[in-house]
Amino acid sequence: MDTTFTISPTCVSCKNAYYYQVQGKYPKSSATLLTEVTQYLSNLGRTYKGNGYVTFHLLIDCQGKPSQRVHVLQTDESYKPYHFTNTYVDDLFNYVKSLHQWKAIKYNSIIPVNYYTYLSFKIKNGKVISVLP
Amino acid sequence: MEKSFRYCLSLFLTLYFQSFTFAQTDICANKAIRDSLITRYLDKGAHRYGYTHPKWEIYCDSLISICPGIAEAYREKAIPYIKYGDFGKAMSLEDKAVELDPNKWIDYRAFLKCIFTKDYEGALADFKLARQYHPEASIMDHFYSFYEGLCYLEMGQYKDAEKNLKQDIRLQKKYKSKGIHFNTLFYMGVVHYEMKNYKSAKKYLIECLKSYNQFPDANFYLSLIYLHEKKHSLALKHLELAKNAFENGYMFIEDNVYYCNYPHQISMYEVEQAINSVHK
Repeated sequence: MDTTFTISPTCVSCKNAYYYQVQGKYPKSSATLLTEVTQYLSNLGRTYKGNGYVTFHLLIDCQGKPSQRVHVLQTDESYKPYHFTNTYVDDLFNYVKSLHQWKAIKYNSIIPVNYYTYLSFKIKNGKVISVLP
Repeated sequence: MEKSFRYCLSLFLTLYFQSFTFAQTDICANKAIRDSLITRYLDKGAHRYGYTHPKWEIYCDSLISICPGIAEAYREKAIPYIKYGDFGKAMSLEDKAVELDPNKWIDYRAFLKCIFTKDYEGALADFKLARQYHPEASIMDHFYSFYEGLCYLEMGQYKDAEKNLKQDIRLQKKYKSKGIHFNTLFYMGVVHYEMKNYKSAKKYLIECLKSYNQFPDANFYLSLIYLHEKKHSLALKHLELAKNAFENGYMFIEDNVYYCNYPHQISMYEVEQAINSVHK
């Protein structure tokens, strides 16, 4: 998994916010994202196992570009530490990387900000059943 | 002489720390002192900074170190984690809060499971326990039945969803004087839409829009019903209303909608997709 840190040069001096402070959720519904990720994984033709959550913490820069540096969290369905296979996590991360509609946000419509956000995949019997938040 | 001095010092220190432990236990058992500590470390401590500030957790941890049995400290400490999707940390803290004071916090954990982690089975189990403490209570502006309805909706158990939302309506009529909450009407519409009871779905969504006529999601689902009925101009009208509402800043109204998507919530993307499909 390539998690090299990159950020647009113009965004380096911008302040960082959290997605919920700047309405920075990904601009598609959870249902649409679920359909997309299901299709994406189906196209790969692999089978997966496990129950729980795989969560990617991301920084979206002031131009709406996600940094490649991510923080990956994994739990089982009872929120206890758990590890899905590297292949599954990589495949989900590649799906996350395919999302290119993150919003470029200006706080109060004036000040460009970078923002921390996350995407989490709730998995049951190896299948993604919800995309959060 | 030196040996006896060391012995005395050791004895003194042992007794001193034992008395401190007893004193800590005693102060934590006293409700007035517990309340004053909550005021000092949470109300006038963590809350002055907000949960995105590092001092939030320091205040919570300080309170936990003084009185490890105060449930509020764990619940507050969990807030930044749940809102940033660190469910492992958040839910272990929520579990601790529930363990210490289930009467007060089981319904909040149920709410988190329903809305934040989409753990619908877990939410239903927690609401069932919560009801033993508070049979007709509410959490985060809604009766338990509302959230149970949402859980069943997302689990595809539409009859149970309808039953719980009807119970929510009954409770609102019993305890509230403002009329039925537009989100209850919205979800009744969505449940009936999913059951393909389009006539009832339309009735509830139109009723919902009477309370909140810019509600983009209600206009969207109403447009889907009109599309099903092949009434394309009406469908388009409601899609345009939804689009216009989004453009003017109207959205799904719930306090926690900034943190997470509510069940069946839509965005501008779905509206635009639908408009494009109607025009094709």
